Amino acid sequence: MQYPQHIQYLTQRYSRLQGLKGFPLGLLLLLVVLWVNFTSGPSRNLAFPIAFGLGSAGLYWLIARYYRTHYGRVEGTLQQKRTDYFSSALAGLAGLAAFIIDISYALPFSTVGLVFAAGCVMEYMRLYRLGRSPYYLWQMLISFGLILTVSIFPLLGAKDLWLDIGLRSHLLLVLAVTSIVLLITSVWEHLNFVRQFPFKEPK
Amino acid sequence: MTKVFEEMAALDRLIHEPARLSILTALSACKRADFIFLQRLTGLTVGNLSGHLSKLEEAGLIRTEKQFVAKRPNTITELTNNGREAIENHWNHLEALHKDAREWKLDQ
Repeated sequence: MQYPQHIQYLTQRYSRLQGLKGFPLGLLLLLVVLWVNFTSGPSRNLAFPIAFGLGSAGLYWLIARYYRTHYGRVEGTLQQKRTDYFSSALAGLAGLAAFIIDISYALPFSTVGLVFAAGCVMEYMRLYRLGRSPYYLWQMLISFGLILTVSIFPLLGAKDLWLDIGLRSHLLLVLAVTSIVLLITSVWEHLNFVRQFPFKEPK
Repeated sequence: MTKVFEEMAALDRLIHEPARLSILTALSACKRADFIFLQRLTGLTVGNLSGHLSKLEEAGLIRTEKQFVAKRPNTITELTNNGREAIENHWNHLEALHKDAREWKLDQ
């Protein structure tokens, strides 16, 4: 038998611990960044971002189905659901506000990046801290450090570094790094999720 | 010390069995969960887990509902009000026993 605290931890956060569910979002963000970077003007074909969106939604559906059939389903309590919806809505609003600030003002840092970096810490505090796994702590520290550093590149004197690697703006660099972090951490979180179970797939 | 032994003997064996205790503890942390999750959590075979769920259902601690997931039968399980109360009391009982045992001294 596992420790009761571990059982409760796993059960309460079951859906949120299924790391691969974050993969389609990271992929969508990366594809959109590349699309924005390599296209310009009124000739932009919106079919691509729509296709990216539909593809990501399809991929999410497949991943959710994989978790449902291989790891089962846990339905949270009303309070857990409310907390999840509230935190998701809050994160979405903060991201949107930061994006508007970034495209409206020429700041020496990226507000979007700072919001994502803060999101890494919040997510760790809310979801992973109680798991007491050093893997989650390292994941948070590396993600936070990387996104924060990229966000304040101009303040560190690394101006126009993004032009050298073929990106048109600092914001695109921040979003590209964030999307890559999302892709890597989703796989990492999946491996940690699988490690939580002491048993192989039941027959 | 006799009191502790008496209290240990008074533990509900239906709940205290490790697999059933794991199942009830998990269900107490959510609204409901399905068979595959409980199997992953406990590592029990289909037959064993079904047996434990039947015992808990007969005792009125859980209720089950049959569904199909990807064309396979799957059982959704949730605690009844009695079950929620029973598992909470059981853990409180265990914690009280643990506390008593730690505070026990030789001259008692």
